[in-house]
Amino acid sequence: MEGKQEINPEAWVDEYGDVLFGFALARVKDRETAEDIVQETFLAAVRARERFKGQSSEKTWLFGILKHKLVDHYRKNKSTVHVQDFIQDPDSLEVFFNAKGSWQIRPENWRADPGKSQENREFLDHFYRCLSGLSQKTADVFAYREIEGLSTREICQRLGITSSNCWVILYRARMLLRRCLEGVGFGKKHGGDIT
Amino acid sequence: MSHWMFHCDDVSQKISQSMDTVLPFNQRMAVWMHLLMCRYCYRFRQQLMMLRRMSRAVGNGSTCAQAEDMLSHAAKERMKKKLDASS
Repeated sequence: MEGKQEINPEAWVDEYGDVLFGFALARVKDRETAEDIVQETFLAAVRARERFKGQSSEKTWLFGILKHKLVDHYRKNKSTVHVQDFIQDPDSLEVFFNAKGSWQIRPENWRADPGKSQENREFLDHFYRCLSGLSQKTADVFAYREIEGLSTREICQRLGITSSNCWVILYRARMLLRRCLEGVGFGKKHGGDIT
Repeated sequence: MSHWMFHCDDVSQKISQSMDTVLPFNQRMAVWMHLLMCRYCYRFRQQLMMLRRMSRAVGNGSTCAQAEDMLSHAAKERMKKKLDASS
């Protein structure tokens, strides 16, 4: 893609409004809320347009903003699940291991099948609630890496952190998220066909 | 500590790190040896893989709403007005 692109915010509404709205609606289950989130996405994009360098498509860029707005939405609402509900001190991962370094809170055998749409929907609900319960930075790094699929190098550049710092944050995010998902019961249902 | 003697706390970090970078050969071997013997670390790895598959599905829109779930004309007009006022 060459140089800086001409940005026309009003054209975004016609071109990307429906796909962004469909994506948001599948995650909030309420048209009005989904509409508000899409509007916030466009407004945030207008404010951040100087940072859009045309390295990705406009659509990808807007989707990236929308995903963060969705996490913010869950964070602002009471539906957030706090990791503290499942481990006493989320600032320390030591609670997961005993003095010998063996698992103390043992990972469970998840029985969900990600291919099944019903479980995808169940997962989405748990996922956003747990993700929004993490600290802002931890949730952002996880979202960049696992939802948007950015490389750790790209994340480091974007947030101005080192690779080792990024790995530590990702480890922390994964540990807390998987524990939170277990805490809300994800992986325990629909498992009759998987041993 | 010998690389063959990793404990679960070290291994869990290495498993996570291996999803973001290529570990040195000796560490990869140590992790795999440990995984052969430790079902909890094996489960941990499975969980992280599943978390990644499903997070990517969240990101690529494979769980979008139906095609008929579109913005109304009035909603689009409202958005355009707000955008016009803010830009």
